[in-house]
Amino acid sequence: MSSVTENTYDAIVVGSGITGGWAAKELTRHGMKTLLLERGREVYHIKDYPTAINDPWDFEHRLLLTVKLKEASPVQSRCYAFDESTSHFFVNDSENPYVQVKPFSWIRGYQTGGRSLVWGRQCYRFSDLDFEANLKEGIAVDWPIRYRDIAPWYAYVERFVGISGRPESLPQLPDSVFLPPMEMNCVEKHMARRIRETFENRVMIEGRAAHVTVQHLGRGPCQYRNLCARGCPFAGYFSTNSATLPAAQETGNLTLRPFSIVTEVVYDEVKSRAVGVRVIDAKTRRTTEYYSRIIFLNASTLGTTQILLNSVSRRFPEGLGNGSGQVGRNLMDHHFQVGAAGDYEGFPDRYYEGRRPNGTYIPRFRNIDEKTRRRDYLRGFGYQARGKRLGWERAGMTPGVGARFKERMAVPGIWNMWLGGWGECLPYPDNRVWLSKDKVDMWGLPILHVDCSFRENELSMRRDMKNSAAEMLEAAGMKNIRPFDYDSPPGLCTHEMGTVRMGRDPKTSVLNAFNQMHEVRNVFITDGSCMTSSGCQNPSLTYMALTARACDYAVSEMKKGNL
Amino acid sequence: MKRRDALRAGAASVLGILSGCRSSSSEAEITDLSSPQAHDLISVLAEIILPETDTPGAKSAGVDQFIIRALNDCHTARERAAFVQGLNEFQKQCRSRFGMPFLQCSASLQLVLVEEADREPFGLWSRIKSRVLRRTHFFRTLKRLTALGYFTSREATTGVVAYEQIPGRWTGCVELKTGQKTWASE
Repeated sequence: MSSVTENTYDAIVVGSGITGGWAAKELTRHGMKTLLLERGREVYHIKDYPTAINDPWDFEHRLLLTVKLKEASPVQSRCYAFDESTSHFFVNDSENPYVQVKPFSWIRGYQTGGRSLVWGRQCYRFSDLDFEANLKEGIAVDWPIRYRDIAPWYAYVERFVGISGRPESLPQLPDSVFLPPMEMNCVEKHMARRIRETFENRVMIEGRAAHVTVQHLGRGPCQYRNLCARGCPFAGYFSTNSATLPAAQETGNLTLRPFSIVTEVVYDEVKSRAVGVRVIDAKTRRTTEYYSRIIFLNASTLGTTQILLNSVSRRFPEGLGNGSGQVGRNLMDHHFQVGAAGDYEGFPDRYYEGRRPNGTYIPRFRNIDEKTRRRDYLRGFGYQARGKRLGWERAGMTPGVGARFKERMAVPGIWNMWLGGWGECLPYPDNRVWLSKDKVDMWGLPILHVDCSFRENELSMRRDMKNSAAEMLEAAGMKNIRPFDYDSPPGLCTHEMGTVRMGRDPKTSVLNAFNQMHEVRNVFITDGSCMTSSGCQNPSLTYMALTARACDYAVSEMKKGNL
Repeated sequence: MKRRDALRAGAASVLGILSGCRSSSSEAEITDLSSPQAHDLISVLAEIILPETDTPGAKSAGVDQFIIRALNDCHTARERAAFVQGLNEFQKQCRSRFGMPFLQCSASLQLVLVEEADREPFGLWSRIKSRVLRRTHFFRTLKRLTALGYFTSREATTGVVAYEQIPGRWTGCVELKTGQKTWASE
């Protein structure tokens, strides 16, 4: 009995990534004794950023990927943020198997802070264009919330995170609470002006990113080193490690337990509620149970899904809270790596100073009203775009050798502009994951099968993404325009979501409007798995806002005696 | 090429034919990138691409070591074999034309061959080969690695390229100052 008391908390949070960190911060702030379980190792802010202040020459392969790294992690090494300086923040693929029924890149970081250490930091609000889309088009199920429900929570998390950007009053991309923006360079300003002049519904704006451009709550300011994914010793960008975890720890209510692999949620058939979680200690291999009144699952979209599917009981033979059969279905990821690049011959006498960890953004301009309606696909896409002057990296492709060549390569070259699209993916019930019947991982847990592909709607959209990028570069007077489509697999965008969706009806969805399981009222799920549709915006900001909102609701329900 | 070198080249190639395939250590086929022959050749080629001037060259920036490390660790066995074959063909060509190993050629003869090798990847045949056979011309690989190793070296940041460890600011649009160098990293 004493061990039960010892292992009992007010709340358990599973996963310490971007949403787990928020859940821990919010719950502890409300006085809840909270156990934060992280399956990976501890990563302390600053102390455990071994490469953070390295210079380029400190890396023996100058950040080229080694064959050994690629072989050990064939999936992780495809992620843009993975290299010699960051590989320690990604899992070893051979130790963490899953089955790709079709190509699917499952990018993971098993450590305190999860992928919040290496994320892309772009932050954009969803709007009612996104929240109403499923209902209007008869796709999947309706979101149980609208913009007005989440708007105050966006503002709430933004005030803490610190987001650099500029208000633009765009209906399809509502403004956040902003810190000063990172200005465009001159080729970007030129491009932005030409887009405004040429296209009625298009604008190019400064990227909105979780960087503190001024000192903010004791963090930053950003030093413009653009080495973010190594961890920032200046706390210039938002991560669990630099922001939410210290805040949670400050309350004195947090217990962080690393090396804790949650295998299932324990369901009590008599009490009709979840009573705790079962944990394998990755060091001792011992199994322990921890108990609490409420449980937040923030183990990442597929991590959370795996835990639910593995939590079987008489009441829930198909997985915890899975009466709808929707757990594991409707997997989405943004489709990207399509767009165009071009060269600009002007501005030979202009340059920039500092290394901006951000770029510019062209918000969605398709299917935002009747005038922009497309016949060939639903929804839309946004572009991340950046301009730069070519540097020495052009040497490999430029004829010449010798002293004059060396001199030439050491002065700034021609300007170029790159536009890459990020497109919405529809929720398809047969884009899904399930537990293997015969394969287990090193902990004896059934591994996931992932069967996911982009369909006609996404492929039609990609054609437009490529052509529209080239069209805008042309309008801006760019030369040597190079459209591209790398046909990358789902998962690689690291925006996987949707497998435990929110909805109004317990028969067709898993979570209600407050991210509470319809069928297990004391379990809340606020990572990417909760998403009912994907929008085309980078989703972490929405996950964070939903998390803070769900925590507020859970605490008030507990106070009312409803949980 | 200077006239004297051209004459010497002509004479050398006659001598080369006469002397047949007399082998010396630097003439032997390269089989292994870790061999001294490979190292000597790569080191000289890199220095010709980015030579010492009033600023350090490839050699003093340790680029030779970097190239070999990158080839060994970051390229597949197939890519490595193609690179070694390219080096050997380059050497063979040198012997058949000038009658002596590349490393024994005068600086200006060496430059002639290197400039030819530099132009080759831009030629039609080479472009087709790299597309269809997915085989990169050895000199393109060498030049790419030379540039990477050099411009990210500590030595290159002492006046060759501009580098700030902690910029501390972002200014999107500034006037390009006279003598402004390209940033070592972005």
